Amino acid sequence: MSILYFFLYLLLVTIIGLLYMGAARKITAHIQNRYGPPVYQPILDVLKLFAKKDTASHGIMHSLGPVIAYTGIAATLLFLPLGNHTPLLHFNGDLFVVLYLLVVGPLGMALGAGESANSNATIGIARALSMMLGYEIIFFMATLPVFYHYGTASIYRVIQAQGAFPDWAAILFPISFIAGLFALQGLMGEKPFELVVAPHEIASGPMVEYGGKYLGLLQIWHAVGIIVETGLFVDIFFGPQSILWFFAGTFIVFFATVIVNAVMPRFRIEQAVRFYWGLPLLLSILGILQVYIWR
Amino acid sequence: MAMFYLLLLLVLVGIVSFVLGPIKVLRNIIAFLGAVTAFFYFLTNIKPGLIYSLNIRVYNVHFEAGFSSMFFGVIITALFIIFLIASFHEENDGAYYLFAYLTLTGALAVLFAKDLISFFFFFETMSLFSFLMVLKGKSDTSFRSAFKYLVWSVFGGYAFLMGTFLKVYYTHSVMIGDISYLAGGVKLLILILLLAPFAVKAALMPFHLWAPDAYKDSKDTFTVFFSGGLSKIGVFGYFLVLFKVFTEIAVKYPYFLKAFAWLGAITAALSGIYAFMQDDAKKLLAYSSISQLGYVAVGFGIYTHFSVVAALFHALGHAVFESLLFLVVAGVYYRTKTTDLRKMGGLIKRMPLSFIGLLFGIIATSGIPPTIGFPSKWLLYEALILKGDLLLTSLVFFASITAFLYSYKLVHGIFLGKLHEEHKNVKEAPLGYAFGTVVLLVPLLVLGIIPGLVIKPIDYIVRFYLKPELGYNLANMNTPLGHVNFPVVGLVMGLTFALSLFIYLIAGKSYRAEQTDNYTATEAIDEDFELHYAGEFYGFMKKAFGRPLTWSFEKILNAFLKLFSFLGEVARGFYMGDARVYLFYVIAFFALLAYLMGGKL
Repeated sequence: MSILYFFLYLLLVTIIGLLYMGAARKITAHIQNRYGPPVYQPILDVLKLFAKKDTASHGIMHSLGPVIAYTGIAATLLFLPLGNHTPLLHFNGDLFVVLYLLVVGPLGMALGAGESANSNATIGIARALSMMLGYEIIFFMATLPVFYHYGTASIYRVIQAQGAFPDWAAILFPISFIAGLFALQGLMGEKPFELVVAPHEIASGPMVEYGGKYLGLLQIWHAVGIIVETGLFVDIFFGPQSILWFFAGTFIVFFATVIVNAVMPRFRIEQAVRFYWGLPLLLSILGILQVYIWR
Repeated sequence: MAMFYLLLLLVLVGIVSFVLGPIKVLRNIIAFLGAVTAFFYFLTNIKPGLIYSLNIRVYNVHFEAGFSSMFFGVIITALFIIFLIASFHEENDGAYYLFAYLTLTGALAVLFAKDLISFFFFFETMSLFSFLMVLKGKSDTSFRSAFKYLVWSVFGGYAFLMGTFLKVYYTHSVMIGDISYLAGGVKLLILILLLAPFAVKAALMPFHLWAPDAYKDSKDTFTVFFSGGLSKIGVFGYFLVLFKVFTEIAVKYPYFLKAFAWLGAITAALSGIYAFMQDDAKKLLAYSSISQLGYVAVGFGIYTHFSVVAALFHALGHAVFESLLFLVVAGVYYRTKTTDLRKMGGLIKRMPLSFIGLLFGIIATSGIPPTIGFPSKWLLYEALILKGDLLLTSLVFFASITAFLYSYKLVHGIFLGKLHEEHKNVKEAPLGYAFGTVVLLVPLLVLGIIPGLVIKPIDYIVRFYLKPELGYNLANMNTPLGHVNFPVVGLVMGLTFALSLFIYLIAGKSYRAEQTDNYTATEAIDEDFELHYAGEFYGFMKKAFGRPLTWSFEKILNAFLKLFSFLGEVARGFYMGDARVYLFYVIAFFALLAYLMGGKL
């Protein structure tokens, strides 16, 4: 019974994530004065990709890469509370479990893309990993004051410790919140930090050798990834929300990244990393100072 | 007596293997049986609290086995067996095994030593014979690397001896025991002097300079023991000095501990950065080993119950995954005769078992669940946040991100990408390497899922000195900040993997593509087309880091070298080798004397 519940839960979040992707395409199209595809287009795409019969694989790791990627993100999702909705498991969303499980997905994709022996793919991976030295550390430093302030490392307890609107961590720690927004743009891989995919330079990077069901798995990985990444942000900064408001919150955050994405050019890789070591780093250190002053 | 018999056994086996040197098969059998006997003898006969003293006329050598010596002893002896089995595939002479056995003897005796003088003696024995092991290494630069290692070891050893003399001068006792009652400044000096050799052994910055070269240039299988096993003596030393010699350190010198933790974090971060800049697999791993030991120093520096538990658990983890990684690289070197990441690639199709070993090794190095690297990282972060040093926490987190970078570079360079023409017929690593790989994979996964198995003995070591704060049983761990059930993490990953695999299997079929069947934007691919992107892998990070990347401790030391040779040149300038000049000096000296005496001469 619980296995079935867990399966449906994953399916539902995957579909919502795909709809977010469709919405992103629609929003971008409207900004660029086009109509764009319907919102449910990514769902059709994924179904088509899974149905394809003639898919090239470069070896066992190349095949398993997308499988591991989806494993990582699905496991992360099950440890992440969605607002007030307690997760399936009896211990509630430890920050470090979530942060480390979040890396399993990119690692799986990196291993898979590596085996294809396409230098475009490997350059994309090298960029993705280097970018982590930028955004990941900022994201961590931006959330650290919140966890320290509430004296816990559990995401669930951080949510519950915050109150209704004015008691949100976003209001209490505005500097860290802004630093977190910077980091989120990189975490989501949207422009100006879209270096990993960069279709015009390295032919969509790690995905270059993937087609058919592999690409399908990577699509649903990306879809759940959107919910998990924005959800983590909403959980930490926007306090306890019912499940509907939680999704509203994630959509607003996602919307913000999408409109930035639509109008921004792309950084070079060393510019992107250096950007994070500038203003966002300063902001996140100020956020940490703020929590020290408060204590 | 048991401890003495154990050490005697090891020395004897070493001598016998030396004598049997030319008869390879017999020598190997004796060496192997000796190590296995020692391991089981250790497990069965040596119990915590065992005391023995050996009177050698001029001096009483005191031995005592504690929980900590048991813990580190088991790790070191087990790794020694793994090293030994793999080393039979290499071309070694009898002296190699003699030195190896004497190194192990020294290391175990250090764990048992109860007084500082014999501690020093055994520590230097271990350093000397491990120096000889490095000297027997494979490359032309072995001598230089081994010499560097010796110089640093001697530096640490003398610092330790000086600390010992100071302690004896003030307390009139050579026993390892509490000296908290001493006056302030002296105590701090003794503390720093006693810690120095362990900082050298555990390659804490700025004492790490010997490590990358010595790890790279020693024989591949010895590096497994060298990095995984012998560095544990450094960790044991941290424990010894910070807990047994100084019990009130947290009250009296909180700033020293803070500096120690920061030094550990800086070591972890900087070595991580150096690691992903390396193009040589062994050098990359050497830096990664240094980086991982940095976390151990952080754990000791925080000095709370579960930070020290985390540090000791991480030391165990380090022994498992670094040895595994070095062992796999040793196997790859055995087959391909190279450790240059730019010259390998695509070996996953030829050496699948080695690939699995390396894959889990890097997963553990990065601290990803469900492997042995995760529980210690988790505990360390909880301890850091509880302590409230958020900037230190961030630096440690930065260091753990660099682990992803160098890990991927390692696995990609060796196993992924394009298979080179000269490696088309490479076989799987031979049995000795494969054995170690499989054996090390067991604790790597089991202790990642059920860390409680070793948390209990580690807790026994620590709870005597620090207030227990960590709640644990086989599966769960509770800190004041949070709670994790490790088997559940493993179970959820297993279930989601099954689900993803199910999706993968029900979706459409796929076919196996050729290596050259790649998208290259319409460029034609032939055999010369460079598909494998391995050199300058993170080249752009050089631009991102800019100038600071070119700074190094070595340059500072070289500046000192230049200064001293300049002063030497100046001093030498006085000795012209000409009798008239010396005569002039004598006259000038007397003239000066006469002037200073005011004409009274």
